[in-house]
Amino acid sequence: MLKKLLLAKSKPAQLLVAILGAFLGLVIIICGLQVYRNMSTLLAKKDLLSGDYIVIGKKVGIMNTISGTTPSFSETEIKEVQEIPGIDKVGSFESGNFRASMELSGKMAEMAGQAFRTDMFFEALPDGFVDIDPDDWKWSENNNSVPIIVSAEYINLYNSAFAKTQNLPVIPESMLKSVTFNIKLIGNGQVEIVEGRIAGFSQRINSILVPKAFLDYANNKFGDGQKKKPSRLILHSKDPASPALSVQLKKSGYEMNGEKLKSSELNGILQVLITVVSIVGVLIVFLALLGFMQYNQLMAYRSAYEIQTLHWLGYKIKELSKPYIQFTFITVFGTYILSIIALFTAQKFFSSWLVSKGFTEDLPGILPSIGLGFVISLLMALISSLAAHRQVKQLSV
Amino acid sequence: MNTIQFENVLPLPLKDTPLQGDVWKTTLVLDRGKRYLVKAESGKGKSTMLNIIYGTRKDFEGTVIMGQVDRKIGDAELSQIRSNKIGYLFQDLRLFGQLTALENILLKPGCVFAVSEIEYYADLLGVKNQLYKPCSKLSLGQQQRIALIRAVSQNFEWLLLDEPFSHLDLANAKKAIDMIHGRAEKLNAGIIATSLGDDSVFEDYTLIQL
Repeated sequence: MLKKLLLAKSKPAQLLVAILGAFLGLVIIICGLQVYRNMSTLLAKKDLLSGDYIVIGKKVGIMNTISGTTPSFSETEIKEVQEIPGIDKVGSFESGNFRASMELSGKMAEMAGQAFRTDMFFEALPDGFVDIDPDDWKWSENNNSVPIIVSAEYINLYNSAFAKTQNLPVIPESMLKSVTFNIKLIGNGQVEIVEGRIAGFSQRINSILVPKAFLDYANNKFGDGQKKKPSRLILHSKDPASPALSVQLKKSGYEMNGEKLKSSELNGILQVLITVVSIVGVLIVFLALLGFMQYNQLMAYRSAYEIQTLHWLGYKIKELSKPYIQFTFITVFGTYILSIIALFTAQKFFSSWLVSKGFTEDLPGILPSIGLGFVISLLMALISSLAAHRQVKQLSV
Repeated sequence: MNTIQFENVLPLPLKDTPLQGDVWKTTLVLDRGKRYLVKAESGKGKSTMLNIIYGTRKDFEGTVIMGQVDRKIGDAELSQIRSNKIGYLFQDLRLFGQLTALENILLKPGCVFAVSEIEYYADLLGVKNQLYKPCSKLSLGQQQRIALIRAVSQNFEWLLLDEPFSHLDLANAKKAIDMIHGRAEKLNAGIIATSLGDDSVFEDYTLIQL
């Protein structure tokens, strides 16, 4: 009966505007956080090569095609690169000079239902350049499983285009790690099949890496004995993003792997964008809060006579403000639940879109966004409840 | 609350009015169990006096002591007093037009009447047929009787009646005052009533002049 007296004279249009505002603001803020977390995960995936490394190569020119040579670094050139200020370590990509092919083995091969076989090449880096658990990155002749690091680009390319056109199954990164391959090594009239497994993926190295020990062994056994000059170098620098360094490298005619720069730039832009959007969201939430407060105020004012009379009859102020507080919590948290549903739907939609585009990464959970929304909603409900209580107190005298 | 004591009380709106009554700017002690009639013309502060006792007016100088307790109390205690210790018939009745007469009475905090008792008293006052109608549909006289039943539906040590029969004829007023006296005697309560003119129903009341 109290509710009937105190809340009866409300006009829903104003409330609807406040709810809509709160919904919009909440969705913007929690989805903003989610987008930020999604993109951070997608862009800044932990790479096996830390950010202090740069990979450089030489431009391939028409002369290389005609002469049949690959552009490579000579000893003196490597020395020159070593002397560029800001560079403290140089390693060269050592390549295998034997024929190799790879095919799926075990369960995966049965599942795929058809032979998956491809020609392969391998490269190796000096020890200490690959940021991976050393126990996961060792090979000896008696330990037959060869760990491989694959460029994530290759997996993306395979999943997004190749698999579809060739009617091959799409394979997520996580699954690839649990798959074993048969690697066929051919050369010098000998053939050997070893087992291979994928130890990790790298965004930064466009190559297929194996431990140096394995490459040395295979080159020795199956190779033609010639030592190839490296076509790419890996450099370690404390400040790889320094413009002076990249100018110096470009002047020498080398090509840098720009992936790191691009992604950090993108991250920066994204951060600014999401900050701006979030500020807008906070503003909208703030306006919605004012809307709720005003609506409560209005309802209380419309029931000013009822509030005063009920207080005079012996009702406590607490009892009289309770219907307003309940009403506030129900509307604010109803709005909150709607925004959570919106977030959940958007995230689901986004992740299935990613899958359709060939991305295989797991997106971060939505729990932090749900938590943030909860905190904001709680604040909104508490502040407008407090305002309602004060209003009732004022009117009850 | 065996006594209500006024000590040098002066409502702020009456500051510039010449005063010679028994209440303002003097000492007045009211005893529980007795009946008082406050008589004065309009504008001398009859309702103000009741509102000061009830705690709904605070714009006054001086102190009101109720059973050794000063009037400055919290909201919870105020609610206790209004639900169990002081009944009040407001001059403007303060019923809710959108609720039925019965709902209005049942809504009263501290109401000790069962529905059957309410029907009994309504029958006594001739408004039994109005109990289930919205108050907005009742005449002023009927509304006043409903408000009276509501005022005595709680337990009280004091009953404040602000022009209680202003909308009633003498016959109905007599029935009403009998009901009021019945309840007050049972609860050993004091009555403070105000009246403008005809006070033939307030026979044995101590007169207080404002």
